[in-house]
Formats: sequence, structure tokens, C-alpha cells
Amino acid sequence: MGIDKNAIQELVDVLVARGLGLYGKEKMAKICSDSGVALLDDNSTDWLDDDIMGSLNKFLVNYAGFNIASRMTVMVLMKMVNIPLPEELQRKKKRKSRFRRLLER
Amino acid sequence: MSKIDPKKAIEIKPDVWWIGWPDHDAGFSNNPYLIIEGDEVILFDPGSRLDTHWQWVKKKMESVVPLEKITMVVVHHQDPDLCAAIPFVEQAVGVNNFEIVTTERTALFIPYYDVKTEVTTVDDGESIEIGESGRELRFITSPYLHFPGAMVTYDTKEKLLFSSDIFGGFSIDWALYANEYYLEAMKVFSQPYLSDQRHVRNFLGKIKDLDIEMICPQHGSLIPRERIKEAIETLYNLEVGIWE
Repeated sequence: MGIDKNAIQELVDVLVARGLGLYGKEKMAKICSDSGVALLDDNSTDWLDDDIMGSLNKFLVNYAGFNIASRMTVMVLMKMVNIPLPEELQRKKKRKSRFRRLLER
Repeated sequence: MSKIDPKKAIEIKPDVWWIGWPDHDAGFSNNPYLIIEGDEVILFDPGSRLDTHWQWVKKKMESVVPLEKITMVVVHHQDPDLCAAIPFVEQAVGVNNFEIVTTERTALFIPYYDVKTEVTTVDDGESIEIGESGRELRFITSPYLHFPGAMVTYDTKEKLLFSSDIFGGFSIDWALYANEYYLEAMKVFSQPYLSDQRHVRNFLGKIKDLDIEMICPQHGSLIPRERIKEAIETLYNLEVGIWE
């Protein structure tokens, strides 16, 4: 895929650093373990799984799930390090109005 | 162009209405718009909650369609001159009985107006289909013009660009349609409001391939096709963001 692993590591480290400040250690430890990322005692991170991209995607989706601000943070940082957004965070390009969807139910 | 009565709703294209009000004292017209597509009624940037302002919008809207028929409110950014009247819509239509559409960044601020209705968020290039004819409202983000979460809307049917503050103008001598003096009015508005030429050019790049019949800004005058090229060129070369 040609993605720089250092950039990935930097991205996760930035999100972990921000997340520890914003959401606390307990929540960050949980999304790290849920994602296959080890949160070490010195607040650095390591990968628990060989599938780094899979773990990264899970971590990003979990982090973005905190709230709108965390989602925006993920989107901005990914743009800065030029990593494609996980499919789960991508949006449909076209949909129907709520009115039409209700009519079709 | 035929003389228009600004005290009445003006049909600028079939079933597309200007329902704004010219504030001649402030030189600051406000331009909510209405699209009716079948049973769907879409209101763009309802406006201020000042009684004098809202009564204009309400009266004009109700001369076209009852307020409670609104199915969607599109807000292009979070400023009170666009959003503060949303609670009046909510009172008339009911909480969550209509859809509010804006960007994620703008959505953060909508509840600050005591709006309870859930917001549908859209991102750059997303479309919402309205009606049964395949008509789309396409949303194009316009970051930092003048808010990070600002956006504009392109109506694929009538080829209208609802441009929010971009292409807006200040004018005491307001006219609904841009005249030969409008470029200066646009400069006066754009220089202090738009943040940076880089962002202006980024946005103009996004709309360069759109076939635009008319630009419908939130303030100032509507720019018909024959004046669009010069308006774009003016904006492209304008030095903005120079407030110190």
C-alpha cells in the first residue's frame, strides 16, 4: 500500500497523547486494547498484532467514535500524513432526503 | 430586467423563491431561499430571529407555501443571521419533523440556538436527492470562507449555486439582481469577511467545472450567468483577509 509506517506510528502517538488528555487513561487503554494496540506504561504504544493496518484502522474508527470532535481530529490528521480514511469513516456520496426515506418505508 | 417588489417573495426560477429582506439602513440584505420540489420544501438559511426580520421571511414564505410544510433546512454556516430563526421553524413543524442539513463542524453549533432537531451532516461532494425527478442538492465545503465548516449548495436542476457569504455584497442601493456596480459591493464585503486568498482560490477550483446559471449569495444580489465570469475573476484576484 506504500504507507510510511513511521507516519502511522506518529499518527497513533499523536492521537494517544491527545486522547489521554481529553478522554483519560481508562478510555484510551480500552480503545487501544480493542484495536490491537498496546498502551505502555510510559504512554508510548506498540502493536499487538502483525496486521498493523488492520489495527490502525480499528484504532482510528474507535477513536473517531468518541464524538464529532474526535472524528474531525482523525480526519484532519489523516489528511496531514496522507493516509487513506478507513472505509467505516468514509461517507456515502449520495443519499435521499429524510422525507423520501420516510415515504419509502 | 423587470422591476421587482422586494416586499414580496420573488420566484427566481420555477419553484425557487427569494424570501429575503433588504436592510437598506445597514446596506446588508439577507437572502433566505426556498425550493419546492414535489412535496418537499427546502429552506436555505432561515435567517435572524429579530422579529422584524423573521416576520418578513415568514410572511413571504407563507405567500408561497405554509411554514409547516418545510421538510428540510439547509444551513451553510453557523452565524445567527442564517441560523437563529431555526427554532421558529421547529415550533411550526415540530422537533425532528424536518431535516437540518449542514457540515459536521457547523452542526456542533446548531444546538446553541436551542434547536432540538437532529442534524444531518454532509461532507464535501455529498449529495442529497430530493423529489422524484433525480434532483440533487450537492454540498461543497468552503473551508474558512468565512468559517472552517462553511459550505455552499449546488442545485443540479436549476443550476443554482447557493453560495452563502461567498459572492456576497454590501449595498445601500440594493437590487435583487447584480448590476454593473455589484463587483465593488462584493469587494467591500469580501475583503474583511473572507479569510485568505488561498482559501478563496481553493474554493473557486472546486466550482470551476460547475455549470452555473445563477449565484445566490446570502447577502447582496443574485448574480446571473452573464455576470458570473467577472465575479469569479474579481474574487480570484481580490486581496482578502487583510484585517489587522
